[in-house]
Amino acid sequence: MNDFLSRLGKELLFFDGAMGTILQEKGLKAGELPELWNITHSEDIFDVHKSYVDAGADVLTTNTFGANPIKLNGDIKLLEDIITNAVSIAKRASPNGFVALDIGPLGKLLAPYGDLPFDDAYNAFAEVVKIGKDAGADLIVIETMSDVYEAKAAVLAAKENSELPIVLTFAFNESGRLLTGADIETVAHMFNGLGIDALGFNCGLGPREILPFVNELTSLTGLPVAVNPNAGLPVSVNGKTLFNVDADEFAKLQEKVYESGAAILGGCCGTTPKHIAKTAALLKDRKPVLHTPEKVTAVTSSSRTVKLGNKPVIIGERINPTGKKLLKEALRNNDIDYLLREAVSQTEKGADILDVNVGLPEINEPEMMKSAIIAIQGISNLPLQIDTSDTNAMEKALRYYNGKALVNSVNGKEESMNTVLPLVKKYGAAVVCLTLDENGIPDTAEGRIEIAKKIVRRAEEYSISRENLVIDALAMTISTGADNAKITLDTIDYVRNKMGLNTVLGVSNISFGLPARENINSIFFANALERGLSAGIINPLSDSMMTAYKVFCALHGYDKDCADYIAAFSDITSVPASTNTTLTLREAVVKGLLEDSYNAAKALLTENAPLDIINNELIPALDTVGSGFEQNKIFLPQLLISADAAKRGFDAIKEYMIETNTASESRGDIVLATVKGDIHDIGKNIVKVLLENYGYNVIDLGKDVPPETIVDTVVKNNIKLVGLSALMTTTVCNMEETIKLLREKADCKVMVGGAVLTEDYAKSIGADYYAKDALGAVRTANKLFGYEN
Amino acid sequence: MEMEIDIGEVLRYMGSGKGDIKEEILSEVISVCEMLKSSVSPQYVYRIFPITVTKDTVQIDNISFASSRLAKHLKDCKKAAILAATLGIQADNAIRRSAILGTVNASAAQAAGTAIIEQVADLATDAIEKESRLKAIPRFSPGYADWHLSAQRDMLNLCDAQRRIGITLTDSLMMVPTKSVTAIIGLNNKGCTKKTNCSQCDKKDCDYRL
Repeated sequence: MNDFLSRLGKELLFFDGAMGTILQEKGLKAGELPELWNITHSEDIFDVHKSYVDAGADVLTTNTFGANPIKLNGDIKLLEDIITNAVSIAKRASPNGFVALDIGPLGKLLAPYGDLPFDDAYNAFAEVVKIGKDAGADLIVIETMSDVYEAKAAVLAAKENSELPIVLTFAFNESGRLLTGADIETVAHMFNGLGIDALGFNCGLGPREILPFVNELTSLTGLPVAVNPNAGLPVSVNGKTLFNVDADEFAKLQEKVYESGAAILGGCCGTTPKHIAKTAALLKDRKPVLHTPEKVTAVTSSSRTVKLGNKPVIIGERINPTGKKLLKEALRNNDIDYLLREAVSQTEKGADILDVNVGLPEINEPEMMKSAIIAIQGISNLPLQIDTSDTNAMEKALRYYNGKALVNSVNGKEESMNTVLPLVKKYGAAVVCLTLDENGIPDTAEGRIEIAKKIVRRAEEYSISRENLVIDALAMTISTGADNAKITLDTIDYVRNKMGLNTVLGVSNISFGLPARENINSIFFANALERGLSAGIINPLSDSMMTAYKVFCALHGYDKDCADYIAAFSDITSVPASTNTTLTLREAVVKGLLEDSYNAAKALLTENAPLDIINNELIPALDTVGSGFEQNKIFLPQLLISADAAKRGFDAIKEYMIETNTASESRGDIVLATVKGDIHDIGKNIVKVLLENYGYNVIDLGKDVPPETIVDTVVKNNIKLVGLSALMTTTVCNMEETIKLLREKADCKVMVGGAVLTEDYAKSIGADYYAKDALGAVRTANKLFGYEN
Repeated sequence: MEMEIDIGEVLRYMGSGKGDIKEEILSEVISVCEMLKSSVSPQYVYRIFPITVTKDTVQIDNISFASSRLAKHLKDCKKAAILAATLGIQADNAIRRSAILGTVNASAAQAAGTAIIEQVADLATDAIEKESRLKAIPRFSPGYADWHLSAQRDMLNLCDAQRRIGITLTDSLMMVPTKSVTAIIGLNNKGCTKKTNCSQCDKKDCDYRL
């Protein structure tokens, strides 16, 4: 075993303290890269390390916090020199101690928030890990992390490119959250299973502030806990940042931290060899206090934890194309927004977890799964259930998932256990276990329980703990077997109450083939909850299912003061929001009434052709609003609400065409994109809605789109009009570059828009048209496609 | 930080002009504001520096900002605060969530985010005045007039905004979280009598000009 691991958790280990603060005293200038000193001032670095060794530090962290390919602009040679020197200086200073390769944040936010793709972050970390490993580091410290997603990329890079032990520490703020929103509970659940060797805190706070968090973390993780605080909270004095906790006080506070269960003690900003010396002297030869975490089934998003086993949990089932024509169509057209709307509506109706299934034979499921997971996590805080039988899609989803996922599913078949369980283990997920195997679904509770036990045993061989297994007793329709409900309920009861495992169930199968299925589903759901169901996979948009759920929670003490029940049902008698059936589609759009527009369009569809409705109702209505806008009689919000209303009318038409397999006709195809480097897309999205309302088929490439992608799409689809959007002066150059490339490789017109653009500016970068606003874009398209003079 | 959202400001940023606001829009805007309010975690950091102003540069610490308009703006100041403020990454998540629901929600969320971050910057300015015992003149940010956005990196470094409140830059110098601002705030004994920043701006045809 690695020497470090043989001592970690068995004896108290001391890390060193701050490097940067001391280098500033030695003459490091503001803005100068401290890591360059490994090359230019190696003796100064050696002296700092040596003073920490003399202070009693067992582990030195290398002077490589900011050494990564991104901060060094891709200069790998320089990176190698910095890291190799850093490790060798530290080894020279501490021949008998441990040298930890220090890895800090990359300085950029990962997509979908920032512009750094997960793979690029992973590759940057992997580069650092490989160099550090070759240089002879004994372990890796990933520190000052404030984004769990970036930390995940770093951990995977460390695990997949070395066998070195990993210590992972986060910078929490005073309210116990990371800058990106995660609390301690979420961090613990996400990283407990990801194969790291110690977890904890550094920077941000002093030992006094961290102390309560240490208590919390030790109740959530079985891993050794590392605590490297600042010397107190920073105070600003005459423009200088100072830390006020002196070495004696620091040591006394760190003793309390030790008593709360920390196994690694060190320091961060403002700490000195004195701080470490006092701490080491006070706590020398102590053994870490053991802590046993509570066993709990938990899954997380990047900022939220959902636990199974107490209040029952709703898993929204609607992102699943089985039997859903509209979703199938959306998946085929890569219409991620449709999935996102399903995510939002289920969240609003009370889902705790969202199931994501994008399996269709004709699409590339792994790629679609990846984009769906990333996009949904960009708008939702709910944990996701990754629902696929495609192992590649499952691995992709687990890799790019930001949080601790629930996998749906493994079953008792050898092949399933052999492929799914290793993935669950590697990515530290929880998994739904279906009680079926090579012989099918047993028709007795005993048979299903046996399979559950088999999967549990096998999972334990992979060191997957029991609380990460959630058993699905499987519902079979009562229309083909009178005992089917009873078998499922008995299995749930046994698994939950005798085996002590959590349970999950796709409820609605119970009524397959029967009329008025919700009658059966809702009562069966209540029965299952009564017998110990931990989580129901249901449609949260179904009132009867949610009613069953809310009533159950109120009856069983899961709804304090019946608050949720009252909130849901107290104003049920009041008049529903106006649905004025007498309004025409045209009126509804002009007035901006969304549901009226939808209903009016539906009514018209019984007697009118879709295209006639668009041409005779929707477009004239939009023209009315548009000319009011152009004459300054109405203002932007009103234009937008009419556009939204027209879109709802359009939705009705689109649904009709998909349901009836009517071929859609459009005025023409238009590609829209926000150019490379630009992450603002509201303007582009408004243009898209309006163009669609006017009957154009929009291929929306999204934001931050490379010129090549735009050109390829234009060529492939023989596009005649491209709309490009850019908000900032710094990205207009990419607009110009895109236009240049389009001129070279494609034959199309280009219209541009965005805050910094003007008519002249648009001309100067080679655009054909400048669209002042969304209506301007519509007019341009109308002229080009011959619908307007 | 407890934030109250000024609905009037939100509507102004939405481009509502002087027209009447329909009830449907207003109730939508209010609900978006409520949602956003529960998602933001406003934070700011600042540092106060002595500054040296020449005809077309402003020198702070060992950094020199080249902009004659900035220099003119700060000509009566010996000190300035470098401010960075943000609503946090969860605000971006909430704004994107709103955008899924429609263009009104999308623009309301953007506008509300802007209204809140401006308010946070106002609060920070109060704190800066209090600490410095000087009066603040209007904020000036990279991208204003002839001050290039490339100053953004130095601005964030000067107040350690990345480490302390998590503001990062994309390759094209956009801040993430998107609802973030940086600004230099000149400090002197008399402050500024001009009411808004708008009077100093060249863009006379701006929809938002006050």
